[in-house]
Amino acid sequence: MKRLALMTLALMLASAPAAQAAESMDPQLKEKARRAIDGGLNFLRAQQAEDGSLSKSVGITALALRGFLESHRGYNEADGPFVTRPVEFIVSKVNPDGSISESLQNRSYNTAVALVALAATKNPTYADVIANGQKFLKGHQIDEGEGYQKDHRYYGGVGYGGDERPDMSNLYLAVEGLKATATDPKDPVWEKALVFVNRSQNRSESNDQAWAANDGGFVYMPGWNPPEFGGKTDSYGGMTAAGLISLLFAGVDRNDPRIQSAYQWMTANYTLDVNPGTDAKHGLFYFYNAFAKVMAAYGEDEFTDAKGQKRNWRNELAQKLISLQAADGSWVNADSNKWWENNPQLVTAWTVIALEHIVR
Amino acid sequence: LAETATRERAGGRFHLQEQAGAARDRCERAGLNIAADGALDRRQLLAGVVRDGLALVSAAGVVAWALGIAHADTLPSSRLLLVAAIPTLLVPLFGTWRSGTLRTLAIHVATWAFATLIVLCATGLGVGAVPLDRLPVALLMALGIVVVSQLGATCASHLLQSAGTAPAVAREWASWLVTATLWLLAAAPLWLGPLADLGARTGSAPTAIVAASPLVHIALAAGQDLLRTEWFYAHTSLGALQFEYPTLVAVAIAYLGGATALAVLCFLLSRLDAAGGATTRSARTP
Repeated sequence: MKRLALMTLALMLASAPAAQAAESMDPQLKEKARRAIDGGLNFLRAQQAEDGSLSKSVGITALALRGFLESHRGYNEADGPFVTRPVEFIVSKVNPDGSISESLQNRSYNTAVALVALAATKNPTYADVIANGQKFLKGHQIDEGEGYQKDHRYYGGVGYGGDERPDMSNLYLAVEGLKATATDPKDPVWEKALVFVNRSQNRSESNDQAWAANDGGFVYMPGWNPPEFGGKTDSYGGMTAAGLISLLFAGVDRNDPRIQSAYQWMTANYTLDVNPGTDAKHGLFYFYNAFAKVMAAYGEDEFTDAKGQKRNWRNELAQKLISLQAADGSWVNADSNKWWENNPQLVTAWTVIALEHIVR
Repeated sequence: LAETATRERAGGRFHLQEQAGAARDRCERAGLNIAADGALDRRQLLAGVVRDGLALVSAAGVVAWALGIAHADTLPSSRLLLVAAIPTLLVPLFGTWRSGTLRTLAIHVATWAFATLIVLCATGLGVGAVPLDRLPVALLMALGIVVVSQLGATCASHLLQSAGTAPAVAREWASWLVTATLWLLAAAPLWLGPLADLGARTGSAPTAIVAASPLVHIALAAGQDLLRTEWFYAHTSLGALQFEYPTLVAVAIAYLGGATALAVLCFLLSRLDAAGGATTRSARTP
């Protein structure tokens, strides 16, 4: 009897941190967030074409599919055509080179997000498709195979599709796809990716590029930002979240100074009103999505911002996203059309995934 | 030439003789012998193609260098695009010394092929790798552009001649007109970028602008996402907007259709020219 009581006590103590984590978010808000997810998923389901696709795009279809499969509803392929048809659409777009894409452009982006969605089905039927997709992403990474040596600023990066210039955003998505499909941690792809990640961080101790500053944030690609963000090398929120996720997924220790300095940048520049580090709303929902993922991966529910104010990111981001939801359950960036954020199917899929990371 | 033509007109020569005289004069200036029936010596025709081709190579080399073909960050696929596109967009300016639809077309295609081959070899040997596996499709697309632009120039030349411009001058003007149009269309993603930005929410402006650019067509054939290359991504907002590239098949059909339509138009215009010339001749014949 005494032994049973001790075991019960031990179990209670062991489960205490988990219970605490689960309560890290306001329960009422959590319920609202779940309802917002349901609204978003209903919107996405209603938008599906006959073949299960959204916007005839593998990328958007895969993101929406991920939203279904990772939701609190626990949807899977047994739940019906709204799950199976998108899967069939994605698989129908597998190319001989292993990429999963409806066009030559965006091949890397589409393949990366498709890998995450197919992995989320947990269906071994797609093992070959996943393995070939991994192979494509690894082959697509800029390295000696493309004639680039380690000292080149493109080295280790991944671009949108063809063999065009790489960027931090596409690398993060590729890394996420490889991580979701359990790529061997010893695979050289990670080490090469870190070369590019290091060169995209404003941290001169780990970045060998002459332009590197020292605020710890990230830029779009080594030495350059898109014109929407001034075209220079100032750190901004979307890419800092992308860079931080890439570091974490590539296996860099949480206490590594690269991660610590990026996290400090993120918390010091925290805002949900604009893309942090800029005064623009371009790529804002991309930021929300990446921010939710990176904060969930980092594992801190609260942080202190630059003004010394304690912030609960789950509560604040959930409130923000719920406030931006349209009556039909969708989200769209009303202030910018850049990076397709005027497409409600894409933005809704991103936001649903963000909310799922918040309530998880 | 214009002065010659004016003098000849003043002398009351027939219109067809004017054309022949102007062409002969131009050929002579170009160092070519012309037979009484208007046929050029084959070797001299070849020499003309080579001479124009070399001039095209020089011009293309300067433009390609200015656009960064030798830059360390230029991707091999971008190098391929420059090799295929620049001679294609410049060739209407060369080989304008010959009249006649099919013959002029043949001279332009030969000049373009010669120049492209030299630019390709020079790039591969002196600048850096060019992905040869994508070259044939890119060059086929470029050939389509050469054919359509040359037929367009011939039509424009006929129209200018029917408006009273001397044949040689009309050919010069037509070649400049077609070249300017080609470059404007090629650069449409740059200078129409702001319009695409405005229209992105409501219409399909970005897709239409992208579809209109011959540079995009060659890039498409070369398997390159042109608008997301570093330079274009930095200089036009189109790369960050939602748009769709046209399919290769759609572009090929458009060029085939355009070439056919222009060939028919050239034929009709040349017939009209001939009829006009005959009318003029019979009116002037005592």
